[in-house]
Parts: sequence; C-alpha cells; structure tokens
Amino acid sequence: MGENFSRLKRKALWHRCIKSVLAGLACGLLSAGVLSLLIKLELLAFKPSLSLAVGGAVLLLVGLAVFLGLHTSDRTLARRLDEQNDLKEKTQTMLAYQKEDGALYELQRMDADAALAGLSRKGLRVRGLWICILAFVLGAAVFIGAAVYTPAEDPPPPPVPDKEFAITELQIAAMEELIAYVQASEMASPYRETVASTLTKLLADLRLATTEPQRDAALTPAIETIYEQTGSSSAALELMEALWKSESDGAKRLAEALNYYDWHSASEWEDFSANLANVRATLITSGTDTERQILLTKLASQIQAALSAVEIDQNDPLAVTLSRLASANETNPNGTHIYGLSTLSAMTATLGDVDTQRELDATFTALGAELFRALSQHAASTGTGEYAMKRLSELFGCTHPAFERPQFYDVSTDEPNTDSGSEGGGVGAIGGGAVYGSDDTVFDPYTGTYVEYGTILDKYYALMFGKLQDGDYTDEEKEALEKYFDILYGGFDEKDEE
Amino acid sequence: MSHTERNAAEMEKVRIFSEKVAKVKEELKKDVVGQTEIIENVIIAIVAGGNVLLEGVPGVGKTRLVRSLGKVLSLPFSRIQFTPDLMPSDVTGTNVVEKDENGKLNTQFRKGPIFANLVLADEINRATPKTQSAMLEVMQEHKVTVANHTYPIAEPFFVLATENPIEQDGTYPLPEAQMDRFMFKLIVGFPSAEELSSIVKMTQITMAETAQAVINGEEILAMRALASAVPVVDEVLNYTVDLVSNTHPELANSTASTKKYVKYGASPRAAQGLITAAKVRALMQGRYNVSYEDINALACPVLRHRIKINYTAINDKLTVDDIIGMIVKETKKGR
Repeated sequence: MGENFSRLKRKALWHRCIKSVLAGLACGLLSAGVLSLLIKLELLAFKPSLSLAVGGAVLLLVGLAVFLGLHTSDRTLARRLDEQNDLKEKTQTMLAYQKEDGALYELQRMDADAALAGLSRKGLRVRGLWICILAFVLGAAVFIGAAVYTPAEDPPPPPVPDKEFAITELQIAAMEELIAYVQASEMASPYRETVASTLTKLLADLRLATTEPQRDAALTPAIETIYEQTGSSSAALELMEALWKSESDGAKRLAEALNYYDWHSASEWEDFSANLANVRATLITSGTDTERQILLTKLASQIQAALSAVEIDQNDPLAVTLSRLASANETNPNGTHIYGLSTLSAMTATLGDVDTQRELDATFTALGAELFRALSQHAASTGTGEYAMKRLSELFGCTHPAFERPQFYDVSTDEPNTDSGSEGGGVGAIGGGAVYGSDDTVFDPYTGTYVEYGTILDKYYALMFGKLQDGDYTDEEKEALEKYFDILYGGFDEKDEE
Repeated sequence: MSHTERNAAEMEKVRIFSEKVAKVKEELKKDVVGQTEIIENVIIAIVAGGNVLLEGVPGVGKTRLVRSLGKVLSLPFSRIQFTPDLMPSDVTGTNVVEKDENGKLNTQFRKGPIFANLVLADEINRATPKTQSAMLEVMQEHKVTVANHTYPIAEPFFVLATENPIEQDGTYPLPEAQMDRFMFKLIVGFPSAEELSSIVKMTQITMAETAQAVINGEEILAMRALASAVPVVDEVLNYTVDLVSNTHPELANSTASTKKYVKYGASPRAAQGLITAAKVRALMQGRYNVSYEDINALACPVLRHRIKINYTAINDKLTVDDIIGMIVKETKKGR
C-alpha cells in the first residue's frame, strides 16, 4: 500500500471522526432542545435536567453509531478516490494487486502512488459534511432556542368585582327590632347603651354599604365591640373558676354558688341561697374564734384575689358586691351594718361567737340578694350580647371568630359555615339550621331565657296563626306558611320519634 | 535475472511499446488523412490480435488504410477482392496435381492468399456465404484445413475486411458467426472538408502509399504479450461482464433499453475482446491498468456488430451505437 494512500486513509478517518462528532452533537442538541421545549411547555412532566442527560446520551449513541456506520474499507476508499479524482481505477488496481510481483504491477503501483501524491488538498472530499454541519447548526439553533425560550405566563385573572350588597327591608326591620330589644333588655349599664349605640351605628353604616366588603367592614368592628362588652359583662364564670382554683372550702362553696347560677336556673333564688348558705356554713362551723377568724380572712383575701385575677370592671355590680362581701364596713341610714368577711374577722374577738354569726348572717342576707341580682344582670347582659351577635350572624352571615360558646346556644354542631352569602354564616358563623329540628334549648328573645325548641316553635306558630287570622293573606300564602311550620314540626317530631 | 533487472527490462518493453505505437501512427498518417480514431482502433486490434471489419462508403480510404498498414507492419500482406464468384479455394488455396522431377504425378497444396500475416478481405460481403465461411476457421484458429490436412498460419495474423453499407444488391450479409470473429467493426466516416482537401492535395502528388515499415511481427507479438499482462481490477472486469450480459434481452437483469430495442445480444467473445483491447488501449494511454473509460470507449467497436437490434429501434430511428450508449449509461448507473 502506497504511502500516499495511507495518508489519505488517515485523512478519511479524521473526516469520519468529524462527521461522527457533528452528527452526535446535532442529534444530542436537537433531542435536548426538543425535550427541554416540551418540558417548558408542560407537555412532559420531567425534570429540566433530564433533557441534558438525554441529549448527552443521544450524542454518545449517535456519534458512536455514525462512527461505526461510516466505517470505510480500503477498497471503498480506493473507489472513492478514483471516482472523485478521475484516477481511472489506478488506486483500486494498486490495492487489488498490491502483493503481486512483476514489473508491470510495480509500474502500476508507482503510477497510482504518483497520482495520489499529486492530489490537491481536496483530493478526498468529505461527502455529507455539509449535511452534518447543517444538522449541527439546526440542532444548536433548536437547543439555544429552547434554552432562551420562556413560556408566556398566564395573564393574571381579572380582579373579581366585589359582590354587591344592599341591605333589605327585612334586615333593616330586624336590626331595628334588635336595637329595640337591646335597649329594653336587662343588660347592665353601660354595656347596654354601648351595644345599642353600636348596633345603631352599624345599621347606619349598613344602609350606606353597597358591597360585601363594605358590609363586612362595618360588621367587624361592631361585632368586636359587642363581643368585648359581652365579655366584660359576663365575668361570673371566670370569677367562679378563679375561686375554685383557690381550693379552700369557703371559696369552693362560693364558686359552687356562682356556678350553680346558670342560664338554666337563673330565676331559682332558693337554690342560689341554699348554696350561699353552704358558704356561710363553712365559715361558722369551726370551733374557735381564731379558726373562724382565719377562715374569714382567707375567704376575703381569696375573693379579692379572684377579683384581681379576672378582668372585670370594678364598677360591675358583681365585682362591687363581691368586694363588699370581702371587706365591707358599712353602716346604713337605717342603722343596720354590713360587715365584710375581713372586717368580721377583725371583729371576731370583740363580738364573740354569737354576734359574729349574727353579723355574718346579716351580711350574707344583705349581700346575697345583691349577688343574685348582679348575677341575674350578668346573665341578662351575656344573653343579650350573644343574642345580638347571633342575630347579626343570622342576618348578615358574620360573627366574631372568638364567639365560641356553644353552651349558651346548645348548637348541635360547631363547624363554621364558610359560605359568604347572606344565607349562611361567615367565618366562625354558626349555621342557622343547626338549632332547628331538635329538642335542645334555644334562646327565647321574648323572655331572655333559653327554652326548649318546641316551646318557642309553639309560640311562633301561635303568633303566625293569629296574624293569619287577622291579616289579609291569600290562601296560597296561608298554605305556604302552614306547610313551612309543618316541616319545622315534622323535623321536630321525627327527631322525637327517634 | 534479478528483480531490479527484470523491472528494468519490463520498463524498457513499455518504452518500446509506446515508441512503436507512436511510430505506427505517424507512418499511417502519411497515407491516411484524418481517421485518427479508426487508426487508433486498428492499432489496438492488431496489437490485441483481433480482426477488424471496416465499414464505409466507397472512397473513404478503407483499402488504403489497410494497404498502408501492411507496409508499416513489415509483414507479408495479401489482398482478396471478394466477388460473388470467388470460391473458398480461392481464399484458402487448394491441392493441385503436379509432376515431380521423375515425372510422377503428386498432389501439391498451393496456398491461397489467406496465407499471409495481414489479409485484406476487400468487400467481404460480396462473396457467397460459402466463401465467407472459408474465413471462419482461419480467423478464429489461425489455421486452414484443406482435404483433411491442416495448415497453420504464421503469427501474427490479422484479417482486415471492408464492406460497403450501400449498394446491397448482389451482396451477402455476413452471418452472425462470421461477424463474431471480428474483434472490431469500425465505421469509416466521410472525411471533413479540411481532411478532404488534404486528401486531394496529397493524391495530386502521388497515389502510392509512402509509409515505411516500422514494426515487424516479432515486435507485435512482444507488444501483445506485454499488453496481456496489464492488470484488470475485479470491479472493471465485472463491469465488462455486466455490460455484455446487459445486451441480452432474454436475461432478467438486462437493461430497459436492451429489453426494448435489442433482438439478441453479444457473445462471450465480446467480453473477451473488450478486456483484451482495453488492456492495449490502457498501455497506449500510458496507463498500467484497465479503467472503465477503456471499456466504455471500446464498447461500440466491439459490440456494434454483435448486437442485433429489433424493429422498434429501427422504427424509433435509433442506431446500434445509440442503443449501446444507452446500455453503457444504464450499466454505469446500476453499479
């Protein structure tokens, strides 16, 4: 084999390498670009780095495949050289007879080698190089295009227009009725005036509100104010808890008295006074003056400590009464005295056992009634405030998030209704339908007490029936109303049957 | 003889080959104006040892070329003018009865004009087939058999025949077997205006051939031996075989042109003749190997008298050379 043929063979190998690299790069870049584009367009759910890995793998595979596929035998190379350079089959003949001995063969080999030596730099043209270059450029373009391509982001959704709001005549009437109810309630002053004025202002704001956000902006501070007023006026339970924690018999008995007083039995003075008598009993059953003195002092201090621990207005009747029970030293215009527990403790040695008991009885008698009234007022304040909040929830579907006192309502569920519409409650709202169809107690706005569901339903039915008799209603309206109550009763009856 | 000495001797032979060919051409051009390709092909055929059929209208220099060649080659030359009444024995020779010195009668073979190295068979198609057939053995086997006795012909031996494509009345077209004995059929065309002018001027001076002998029989045989050693790569050999095979319409893989226009194709002698002639042509071109170009260049001279075209080709006004061109093109494309 001639030296020139070997040189051209090395050149052919070099061309083969170039083409393999170009083809591999073209396919690798193309596949990586296309894959990257598909991932960017979210048509494929793969990691973006996968496109580079795939591109690399394709590069290697295609490059190797092309390198192996372009393998050129000496015979093929000789044929190419002859065809491309019009060598008249000199190279092929040289290769075919390279081992033949003979002058003519040698002359032929010399002739062929000389012809190959005379070939110019382009003697061995790289076939398909331009296709490889074009493919590489195309692949690179696709890859770069995919790299710089950023998919257009979805336009932000158009702002949702605020829902319109317009207070209805029914809501206005209900609000006016609620304001009147609060004003006429037994809620303690000044909470009553504050809640009433808050509701009045709320009504004025709601009349002006045209959107639901405006409605909520008016409702939120109003409900917050009502909640605060209601909380301040309903510190009885907190006082009870504070006294219960002190763990002395007197304090526990007093806590029991306060605890016993709840909405279910607010009017039962006898029960309350019996509990209060238990407190008194714990104070007088001790044998010695010293022991009694200690008990009186201890209970007095525990009452003061409880009052300090609970956030209660010092002018609150309950706070005033309990404070007087702890430390009063009063002489009334009629000449009677009211001595608080600490005062009596100090007077025990002077008064003696009998007088001390007498004075203690006088104190409990005088302050017990006041305590009962204060607790009643608390009950009324709490009930009124919470009724106001519940009513607002029913009317406008919005209530205070901390308004979670189901024991006052006895609701069968405490799941908030997230529907912002006027029919349901807002965040933390109590579902309006939850109280119906059950035999649990519900608030009676006419008496300010909690009564059984059937009781209030009967009352409403009686009112409706009276109005139907007196009013000018069509038969259809009458039928619809009666059907409505039938459904309400039906739910009640069905529950009852179960 | 060492390797180097042998190579040197071979290179000397190559040099002599080229020199002799050049001299032959030069001498022939003294008597024959133009016809370069004809001259070249005739030289190829002579070196290759093939017979040549020259076809051309009267007066284009066919006979003159052969006569001039006879002088240049410095070989015994004979001319046979073929006529309808020419008998085979007029060509091959015959046994005659002669008295010897003792007066005894003996049969003696008297050689005919065929017993020469270079035979001009002028207007060969005017003889009867019987006479034409007398040429078969001598052209192929270079021997003559008369009365069960075979007489070898001295080498080198060539038959250069001429025929007239017109004036077909009273002629006997050569049978295929006869045609196949000719390596080449060369068409001697009418000279160009310049060539005609030169011919006229030259013949005004003298009608006699002025060419000188520059080569003898031994040298021709040496040149033939040298040419036969020229290597042919398998690709070229296979191409030649394919080309000849493709002239046969009955073969499945023959070309479309063949199937359409050819009645029957060339014989294996065509392939042999192509390779043999191509080797000589390669050497004459200064090459030491046969190329596709040699084969393609010699395709028409070798194949044109061996292929019989059909009526479709005649109807489409196609010549044999046109169809050979098509077959060559289609064979090249198929590779």
